[in-house]
Amino acid sequence: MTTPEQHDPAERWVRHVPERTGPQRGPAAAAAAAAAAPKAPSPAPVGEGVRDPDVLIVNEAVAETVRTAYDVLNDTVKQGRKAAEQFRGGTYNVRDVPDDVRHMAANMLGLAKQLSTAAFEICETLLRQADTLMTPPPPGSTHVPPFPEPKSHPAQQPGAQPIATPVAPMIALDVLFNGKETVRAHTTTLARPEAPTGAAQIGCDGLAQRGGSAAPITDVVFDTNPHGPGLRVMVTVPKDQPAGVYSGAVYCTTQPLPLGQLVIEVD
Amino acid sequence: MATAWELTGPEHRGRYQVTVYQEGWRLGGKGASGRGDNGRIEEHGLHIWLGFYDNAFRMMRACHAELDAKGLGHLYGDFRDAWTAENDVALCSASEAGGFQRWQVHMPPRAGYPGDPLAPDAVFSLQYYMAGAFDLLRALVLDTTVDGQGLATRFDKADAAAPASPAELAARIAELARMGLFASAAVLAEVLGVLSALVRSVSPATAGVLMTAVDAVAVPLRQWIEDKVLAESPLRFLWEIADLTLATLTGFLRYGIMFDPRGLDAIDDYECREWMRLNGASLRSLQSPFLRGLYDLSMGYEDGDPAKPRLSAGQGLRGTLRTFFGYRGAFMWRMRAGMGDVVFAPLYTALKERGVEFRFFHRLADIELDEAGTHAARLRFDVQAHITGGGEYRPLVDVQGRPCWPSVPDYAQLERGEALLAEGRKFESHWDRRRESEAVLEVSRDFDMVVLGVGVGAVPYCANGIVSRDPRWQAMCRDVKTVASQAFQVWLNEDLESLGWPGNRSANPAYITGAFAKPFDTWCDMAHVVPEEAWKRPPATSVYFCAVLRDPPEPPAEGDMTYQPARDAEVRANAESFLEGPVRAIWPGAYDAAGHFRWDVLKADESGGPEPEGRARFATQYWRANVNPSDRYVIHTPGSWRSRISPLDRTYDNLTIAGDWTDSGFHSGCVEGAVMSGLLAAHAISGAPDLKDIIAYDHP
Repeated sequence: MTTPEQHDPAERWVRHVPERTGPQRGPAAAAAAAAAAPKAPSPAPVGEGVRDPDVLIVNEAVAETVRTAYDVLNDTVKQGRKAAEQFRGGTYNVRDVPDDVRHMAANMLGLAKQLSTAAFEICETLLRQADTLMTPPPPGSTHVPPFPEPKSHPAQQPGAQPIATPVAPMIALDVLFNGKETVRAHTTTLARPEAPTGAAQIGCDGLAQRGGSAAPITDVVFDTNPHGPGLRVMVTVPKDQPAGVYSGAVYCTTQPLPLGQLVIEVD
Repeated sequence: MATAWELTGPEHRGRYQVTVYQEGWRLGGKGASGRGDNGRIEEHGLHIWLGFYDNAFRMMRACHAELDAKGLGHLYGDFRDAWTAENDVALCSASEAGGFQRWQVHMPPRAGYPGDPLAPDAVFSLQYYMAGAFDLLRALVLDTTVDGQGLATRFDKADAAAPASPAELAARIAELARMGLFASAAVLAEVLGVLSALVRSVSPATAGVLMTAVDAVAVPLRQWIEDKVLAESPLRFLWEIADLTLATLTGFLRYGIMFDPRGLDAIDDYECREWMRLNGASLRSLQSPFLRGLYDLSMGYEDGDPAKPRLSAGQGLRGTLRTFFGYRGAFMWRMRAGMGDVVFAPLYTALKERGVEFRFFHRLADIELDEAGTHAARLRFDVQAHITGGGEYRPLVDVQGRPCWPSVPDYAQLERGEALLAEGRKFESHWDRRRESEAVLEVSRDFDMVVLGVGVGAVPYCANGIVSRDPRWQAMCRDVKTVASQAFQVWLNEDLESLGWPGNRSANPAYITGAFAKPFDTWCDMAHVVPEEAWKRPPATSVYFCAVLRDPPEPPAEGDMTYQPARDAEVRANAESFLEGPVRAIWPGAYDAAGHFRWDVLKADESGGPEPEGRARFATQYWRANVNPSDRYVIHTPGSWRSRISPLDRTYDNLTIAGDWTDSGFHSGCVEGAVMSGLLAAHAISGAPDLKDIIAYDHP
């Protein structure tokens, strides 16, 4: 490309010097403010008498949340007292009941939101000043496995629903062993729990030997499978465990019926 | 093209005379497309414009407006007709029962169009994104449905609606009491709301507090995720997103990114999934279809190997934030026709109108520096063909009344055209170095400034004079990784609904689908482009597939003319096997009673000859291996940002660079990154546009 405007042919045309050679990615305002501000000592944690305006904002917000919770509580109590007084005075009409109940239920709902244990725990966490930040590990120090390759899919006939139904009736079970090495599993699936269930709520009392009197295998720990869908279970088999087939029912705390039988074979 | 567009804009009043030298017969590089038999569109792959491509859309909108003002608007129409809004995305994930589950996402449309001027108070701050992320999480907690009812809002909504009887209310209270989840949901929603408000005033002093608070939210929320996953897999997708979002927020706070002058570059030495793992994301979430879909779309696999997902964390998050929180109008925009037709044909026409000259069939062979190494002194080109009569090559052909790029050159315009055709010249093949002559351009005599706009994979071959003596350019060529890709297109006699893809087009719009089976993990129903083609009996639809293509252990030798055909054959075999295999899970109707793929569902060309049967029919479709160095897709691996060179870099005082491989401010391989880079190159030469006018250049 050339410049059509007149310029000395003997003088080579060169680029102008740009104001910068990269993006400004930092928070400009904060950076400018930081540059302008005198160097201050490191902020001390709140609770040691230092009043940081930002921390005050946090505290006020949390305090407001708590105040609202108590307001809800007060309103509910007031409404109950008012209803009781009206009842005593004979002015309480049964037709007011649905509205009052609904109103109080809404208040209770708000109360549940505001006053639950978890809320206060988190509010306390907000109030606590965390001045110790972890030193992050260097890049490349943490291995994450690649994406799993989907399993080959079964053949389907034309007209069949191509996509699996959202909730499969069974969940996959990956059985892992610890201890004795000559062990294999005969169970690959369990029934899906009927209600939301955490892995910690799933357990097995022990695996008893079929047709034998060997000591049962009791170290059976369920966990979610980090490498794919479903569960995994770690079965610790003592080195001296006699050979045989061992089985036991798998239960969860959210339903009475077992999720299935866990069957392993020790050689 | 973006640089040429800027330098020839009316504000420069003709100050810059621009000449574009282009190998082969068409513009666009890896974004080029062509028209084949029956006017069918043949692409390098699947091109989708995301809703945050503000700089790219702004350029194209200006281009359309200028053509219209010059009385040429009828050629390409309004830009709103050139792109189709797309808010529906589908992901496929491996099902426990085998096959795939489909996860459908509908992104809400937003006001405006990409490229609209930004609001004066619009800022790309991480605080803004964090507040948005908290709001997103809160919405997830409140709006996630179980059996069609919201988890935390069912009571509120019932209460706000028609009066319920005391018995109903009592029953609901009892129900809520039984639901241990409810309290968690309500509390989490409340706390997330508080955090969302707080984060807007976050400062270094409160970041630590917030981090602890986020951790406190994350623990019960993650437990809830795991609980839900076991019994209610339909919610798995949403909660995996929530988990990844929480990890991101935790990382932002833990690493102090909001106050780091490097912005997200501060974590760009980490691999994206590694960084999320460090900040608490579960392995399950890190292997989720959502994340895999993002890696698939970004072709983020080093060496094209699915076992090596490698994207840098900083740019990965920058792209994700821009994608999900920065779109306008629609989440994605699909082009009405081929990218060559919709983007490069209008640009070519408008630039010609502005006086830009084009020299086709010129392949850059080298850039030679002066002895001191301060500037480009000489440009050497291989002239691949001469134009008959020494005139100008006219590259466009008419298809359905619109100027389009053809898939093959017009040999009738070339000197020795018939001979070149008979010799089988491959003008776009890196390995076909045959030429008709050489052209040498001297600085000051033939040019003043140079903009190098090839793909980064081609830089060592066309700028060896610089690479051989400049360690920074060597590092750039070594560290800015690229991957080969593979693509195929099929034209079908039956639409996807007939083949078993759920839903019809009116009720369930066509999707772009990611995270599907290898080797073609991403595909899109392209029925909307069929009317632009010139079939006598149009097919019911066309579908495009694309993915990475693994590199061989050893690169091919220079001049190995067998390499490209061999890789093309490999892609064809992959495509045929894919149709016979994984496609069964999504198009069961494409298989006969014996379970064999019905090859006659593919529409053969309309040449009138006998239509091939069986597997041989695939020969009538389109496939390609994008293995040319300049066609390789640019990825952002950890740490590679350090080796990118900015178009603003002034090491050479009459040379700049442009492409999605430069330090453009947005380091993903995409149109937006390329356009931003082109704008920077224009700024490097002319001082315009102002850097502040390059949208999101100063993004964290």
